[in-house]
Amino acid sequence: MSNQKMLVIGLGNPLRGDDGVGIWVAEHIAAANWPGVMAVALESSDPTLFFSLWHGFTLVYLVDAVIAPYPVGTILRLNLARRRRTTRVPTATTHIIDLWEILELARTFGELPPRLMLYGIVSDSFQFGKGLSPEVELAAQKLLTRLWRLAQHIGRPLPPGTGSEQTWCDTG
Amino acid sequence: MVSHERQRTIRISALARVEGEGALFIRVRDGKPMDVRLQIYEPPRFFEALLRGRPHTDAPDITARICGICPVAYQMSACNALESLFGITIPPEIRQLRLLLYYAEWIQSHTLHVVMLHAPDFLGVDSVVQMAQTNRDLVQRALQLKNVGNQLLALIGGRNIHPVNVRVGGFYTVPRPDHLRALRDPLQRGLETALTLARWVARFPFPDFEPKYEFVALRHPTEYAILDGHVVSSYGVDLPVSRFEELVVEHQVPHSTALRYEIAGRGSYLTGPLARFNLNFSQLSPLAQEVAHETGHVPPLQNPFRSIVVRCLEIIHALEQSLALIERYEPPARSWVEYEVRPGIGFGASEAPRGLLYHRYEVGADGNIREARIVPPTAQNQKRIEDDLRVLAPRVIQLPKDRATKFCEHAIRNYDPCISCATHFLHLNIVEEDE
Repeated sequence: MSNQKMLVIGLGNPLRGDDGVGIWVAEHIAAANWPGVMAVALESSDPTLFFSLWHGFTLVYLVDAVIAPYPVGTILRLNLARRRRTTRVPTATTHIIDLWEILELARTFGELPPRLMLYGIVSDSFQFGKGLSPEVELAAQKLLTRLWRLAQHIGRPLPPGTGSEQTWCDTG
Repeated sequence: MVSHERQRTIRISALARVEGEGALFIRVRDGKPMDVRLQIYEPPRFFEALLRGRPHTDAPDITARICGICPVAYQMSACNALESLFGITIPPEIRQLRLLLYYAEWIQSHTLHVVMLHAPDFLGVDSVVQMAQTNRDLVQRALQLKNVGNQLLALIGGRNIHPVNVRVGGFYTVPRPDHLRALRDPLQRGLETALTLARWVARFPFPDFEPKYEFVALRHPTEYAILDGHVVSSYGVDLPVSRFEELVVEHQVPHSTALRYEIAGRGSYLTGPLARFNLNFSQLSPLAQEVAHETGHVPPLQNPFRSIVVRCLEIIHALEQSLALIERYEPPARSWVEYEVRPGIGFGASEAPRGLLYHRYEVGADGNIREARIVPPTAQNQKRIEDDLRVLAPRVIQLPKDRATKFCEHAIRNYDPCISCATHFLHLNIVEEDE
């Protein structure tokens, strides 16, 4: 990781339709071998895997499918280093321990990266089988462009015009 | 006719902190349980049908996909069945490496369940996050222990989720001794953590509950059975794995997508850590037995809530055995055994973290699978879970709604059910009705 400044972790299950979008993004970045970027596809939410993966990184992006009241394909951006869950939210997860619990554990143990963002792509198609819906694949391609620009501007502000307002929904 | 009967219904429409999609329905009338249903509504996954027509060599990798927590169990039961059919004798070096891979799975699976899923129940907190506020050091050490299991799994299995290195006849490749020996110190530290965990959980407050179980597990002549063995029960059953289907009766119920199992003529039975412990205690490692005596957990142990202690003892056993196996590990000259395909039916079983996992395959002369049968531990325990909840129901119904829900979930987690295996996403919703 010595030459790598940015980590992208793609989450999900590629065998459950759009749930594989995080994996799709991570695999595309890894295959293209972006300089300075480490990309990992993770089909598990084992906290120890997260902690060991992001150890030493100051800039970490998680990519996952999300269910949210926005049009399918909307990309949500959450600053996880700042955001706290204040109430027990019923979660829907096959991941044994949900992402919020992992984040809270990391915070308790001082294992949270200084900059940790989640890009959640709004999805609603989680049927058995591989393959993304057209809307989610288009959103994944837009996110790749976004992440590429972020990788080129690590430590510098992103130039304007990196995404239309209809697509990007910064929730804080 | 006027009815003065009081009827109360508890629905837990989705179970939290279990693997898979399930729900619980209990109806009690006049203090008597009228109906208890563990509802598994996860869609059937059709793995057995998926295997039909595919090369037998696919079985270990396809069945490993049934579960992200215990894929090694599926690989080993599949290999046992096919190797038995083809008359393959696995050399001791390869068998020991398989044992090591399986211990790695027990370490990570049991640690996950003990610390992250089950211990919060005993402490009256909602999650491991809350538990970590007051037990930070222990939770952190437990995560490191789980990570050692993951590392060992990745080293032998190729990766820690759904390992890819197991094949019929052995492994595709074997690890270097120096790579394995690099894990000795983390495993030794893990053993210290496991000892602390066992002594910690042994002091938890355990509900007074001791149902009469028929325990079913594998037994091996020389070791605490995990990789293979013959089927034994606390009622005197002793059968080769090839006769397992004579022992159990399979049936379906409308409220569950998972098949269920009973012992013919006797009813539900229990498989898993408590069964193994009661049937094979003398074969646990010396340190595990010592801690069992020290904490007052020796057979007969009937209380399912105490299974959390047994899982810790099994982690100790797995760590001690792993350290010994790594110490004497020499890589085999060849990582697998050549074999010839024989048509016929093969039977195999192994002890998954949650209990006995049975596989049967019929293979044709072309080496393709004609029929497959997989009996996972959670499907076997499902009836037993309902029977326990039926006994607990009068006690549960006296509790306020939120405590009743938590108590039922706590009781179900005694079995560490893996509903995905039995046939995954959870919203917790409780509807209580007084009629």
